[in-house]
Amino acid sequence: MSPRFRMILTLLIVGIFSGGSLSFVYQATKDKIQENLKKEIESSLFRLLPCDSYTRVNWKGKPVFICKNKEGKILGYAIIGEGEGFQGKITLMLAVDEELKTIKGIDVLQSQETPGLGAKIDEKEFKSQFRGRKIGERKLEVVKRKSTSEEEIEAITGATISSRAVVNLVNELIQDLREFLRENK
Amino acid sequence: MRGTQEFIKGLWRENPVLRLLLGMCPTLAVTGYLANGIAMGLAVIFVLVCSSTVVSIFRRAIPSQVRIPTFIVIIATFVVVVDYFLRANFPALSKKLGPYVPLIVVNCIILGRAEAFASKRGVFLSFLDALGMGIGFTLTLVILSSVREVLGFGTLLGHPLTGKWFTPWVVMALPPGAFITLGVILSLANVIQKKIGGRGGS
Repeated sequence: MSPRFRMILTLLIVGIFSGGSLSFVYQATKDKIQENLKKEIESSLFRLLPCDSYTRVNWKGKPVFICKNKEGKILGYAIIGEGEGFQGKITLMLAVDEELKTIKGIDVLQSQETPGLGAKIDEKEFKSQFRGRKIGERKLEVVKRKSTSEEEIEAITGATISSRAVVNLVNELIQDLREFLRENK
Repeated sequence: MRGTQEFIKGLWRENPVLRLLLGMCPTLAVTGYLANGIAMGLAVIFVLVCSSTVVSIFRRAIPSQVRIPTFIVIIATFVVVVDYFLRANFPALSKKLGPYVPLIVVNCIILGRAEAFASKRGVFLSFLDALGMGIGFTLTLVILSSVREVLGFGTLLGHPLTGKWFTPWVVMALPPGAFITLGVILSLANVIQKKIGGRGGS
């Protein structure tokens, strides 16, 4: 056997074995990985919007969830969107009531913000500020002091950019839901 | 006795992080929390032991001209197995470790052991060598991440450890904290090595 042929043969065999075993591992874990992703979204959804069933629709590339109770009455809507954070993308879920009048809450699904600073956008103290806010004509804005009105969200100390990114994204998602409701009601 | 020697050397005398200064990327990147450090250590032990054993079994069959690509394919296969396993069974942990699990492929410890040891020695010795190196790596990560989690967040494995009076040192949670802590630990290791004497003490 010539050395060149042996080299090719070795790499071929190693490649076939590697590919074969990986396709097996992929098949074995695929369903569970999919299920985990779904579970993760559902756990956020049900925490923000307690409901019995939901329908998922895609609207302009963003998943929108229509939550209903047992009688089929709509309880609220949720939407997932992503925006630029301080370092990388922030993926956010926003839930609102059925008339788009109050925010039911937000949840951070994915972020790469600075640990100890920007990562606090995923902590209760920051997220709970959004719960129960009235959705009015004016957009939400970030302030670096105590919040005094319905539109003001207090920034996390040392992470104004991350806080602002979340608030901007929430404003954007509210706008998206408005359009969605206008077209689908 | 030979086997014990090969196993023990990874723990201290040839500890991959403290003495050989290999595998710095995961060492610095994922040691903000103890849980991450342990998970990364275990993932590396698995990949290291499996790839060293496989490389050693086939060491005579692999032509030396293509040994590096062959090693990399073998290592990458085990890394993908770990990645899928974590994603399926420990989704939260997998999310925290992020890209650093796939990056085990380029961890120099693993290719280094395959090249320097497993491709020349028997299966049993290669297995022990890999296990020792992996455990040495994990122990170092455990020390590093414990220090960083306690100082950077005031917690250990997520449990609050310090009282309300303690203000976490944010810098320890950030990349500079990793460099500072690693520097201190490396100099301590050098001091200890000098005290107990032996080779490579400087």
